[in-house]
Amino acid sequence: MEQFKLNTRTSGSFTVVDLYGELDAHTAPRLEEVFQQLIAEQYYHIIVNCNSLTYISSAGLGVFMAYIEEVRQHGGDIKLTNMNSKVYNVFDLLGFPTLYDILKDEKEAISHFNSAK
Amino acid sequence: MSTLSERQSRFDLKTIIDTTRLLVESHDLDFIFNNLLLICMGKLLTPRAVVLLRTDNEHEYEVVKSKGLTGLYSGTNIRLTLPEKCGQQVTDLYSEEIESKLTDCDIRWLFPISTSNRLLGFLGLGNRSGNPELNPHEKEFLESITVLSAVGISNSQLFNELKETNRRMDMKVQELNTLFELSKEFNATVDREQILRIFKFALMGQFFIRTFFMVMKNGEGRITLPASSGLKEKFSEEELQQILSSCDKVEKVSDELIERIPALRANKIEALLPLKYEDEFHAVVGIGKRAGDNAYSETDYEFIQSVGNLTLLSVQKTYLLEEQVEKRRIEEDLKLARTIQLKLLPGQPPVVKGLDLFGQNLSSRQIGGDYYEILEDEGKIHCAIADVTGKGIPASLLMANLQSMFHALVPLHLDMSQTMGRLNEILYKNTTSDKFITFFWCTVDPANNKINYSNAGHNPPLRFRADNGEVEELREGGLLLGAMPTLKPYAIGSVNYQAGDVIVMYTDGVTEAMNEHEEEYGEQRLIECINSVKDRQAQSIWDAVTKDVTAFSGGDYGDDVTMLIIRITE
Repeated sequence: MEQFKLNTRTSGSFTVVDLYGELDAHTAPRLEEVFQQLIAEQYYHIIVNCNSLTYISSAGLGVFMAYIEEVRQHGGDIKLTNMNSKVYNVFDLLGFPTLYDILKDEKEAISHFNSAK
Repeated sequence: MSTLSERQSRFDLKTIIDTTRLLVESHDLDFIFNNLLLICMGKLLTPRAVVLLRTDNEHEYEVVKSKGLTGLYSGTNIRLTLPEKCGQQVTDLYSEEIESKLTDCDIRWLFPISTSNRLLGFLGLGNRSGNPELNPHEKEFLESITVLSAVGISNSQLFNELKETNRRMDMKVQELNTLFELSKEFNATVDREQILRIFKFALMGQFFIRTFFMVMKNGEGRITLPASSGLKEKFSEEELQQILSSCDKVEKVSDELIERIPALRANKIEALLPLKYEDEFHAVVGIGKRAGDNAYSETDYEFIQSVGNLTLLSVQKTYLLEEQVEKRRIEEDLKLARTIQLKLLPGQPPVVKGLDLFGQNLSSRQIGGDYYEILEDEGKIHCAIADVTGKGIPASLLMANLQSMFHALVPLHLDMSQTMGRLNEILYKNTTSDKFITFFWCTVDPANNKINYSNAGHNPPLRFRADNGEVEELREGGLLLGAMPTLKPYAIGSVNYQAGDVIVMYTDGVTEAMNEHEEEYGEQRLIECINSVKDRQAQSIWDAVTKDVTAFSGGDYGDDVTMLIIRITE
């Protein structure tokens, strides 16, 4: 089992959160901390890169639900990119594509952000 | 050169083959309907056509696709009562004079769309200019196309059903995963906040919800809101109380409920779900609308409740664990206090010529309020015994207080009565008036074979005289210590002892030990017992008495048992 890790970096005026490993009940609070911190520091344009995310559980998805509204109220968004098909299936199963932008890569996410401005 | 009719047949055949191929390759129902309509309209040169599928209700059909029709739109349902034979063969609605919504829209022919065993619906085709009948060739072609399409439609429906079933199964697997993951996680943590946070996220992720709260009573029975997300308006204390006390089954939020608990509307709460742990511990979860606009099903509620109950159980577990840790901590403290208390009592009695001394305390609990003392000071031996009111920690604190004062005062060689008065004054100041100490203190002077003593309300110690066999009680003294200020000096008694005398000091734990008939051991039994063993050594007398008391009470002393024995050997 690959250990869960996350890394935050900036790409222009966007904040990119890279996820590694398994996002589940155990690791979800760590992503929550990152979201809380980003919101506290007023970073609202967030891209979550799921390239190395191998598994996501309902609790992992719950973190996205808990912060999307607040981020959007501040004119930002959480966009998800580079998802593998196994992870995407879970997002899809629970209906996330209706509420979230799930995109191919960071470039596409940035252009979505820019076109929304 | 082929005739026109041959060319037409070839074209029809090609159409049928193309359609077959298309139906094999596609599971897209809309595409199949569209194809069916276009082919038939082209063949008959009619500007109107419609595909109707049966619904679960009898005589009700869904317009799944229509062309050139006003009044029959895709996605609407219509009621049609048709003769049974319409399901078996093509019907000319005009000649059969079947009036319906179809004929209103100028639909003339109705082809059944059926597989070998099931009627799926109908293909309706409009009249064409000049009202010509269908010729056998057209009829045959249209029937073939309809049968082929029926197979395609049936397959696609099955395919979609299967897809739906698969999705539902995936959903169940996801739910099971969630349940499994949570129980694993809950087992691994005793952090209450973590447990509640995980529960919140799992529900929000699983059901795609943004608003959530949980209300419950905490360990002290206070109503709290230990987990929530997306709340726009705070619930008042009263509202939380209402939610917790009124919700005993799954309740969809109604106008009536909103009237009582207005914050439910502001927070867009859809349903309240009660959670239970055993009977007394319960909580209520409130959930907002699902983001995907799906409604909650009964099984969703059941799932939320089972995960919720699991959460509640785990939260309860953390409270129990805390209690246990606290209890263990108190036990550790008591053990430590006992060790300290034992150090406050004298160790080995001093060896003094002509005297045989022995004292010991049996504590009924870990720590108690009995005290005894043997102090040697400039050739004199100070013996004391005391019993503090109450038990446990408060009593042991007072006992420690008395011990330190006694140790401080004795070496000052003040007058005994004065010392007793001072002990009383200090204890009176140190304690509330309902706390006091019975205290007996004697000074043995071996040089003069004399004992001076003062008794502050303690059970009178017994002197067993060697010369006449009588038993004297040492009663001189005054009020018990700490109850009121010293109004009258403590009296001093004195005893001129002789070899063979035995003096026994004891606490009421000895005489008040009870047997199964709730009779006390009493002074009389004590005297008899000592009389029978008073020639033995002090320790042996002590052993004999405790053995007798143990036998009498069945080993169950209600109180501490302390005894201090002085035997005069020469």
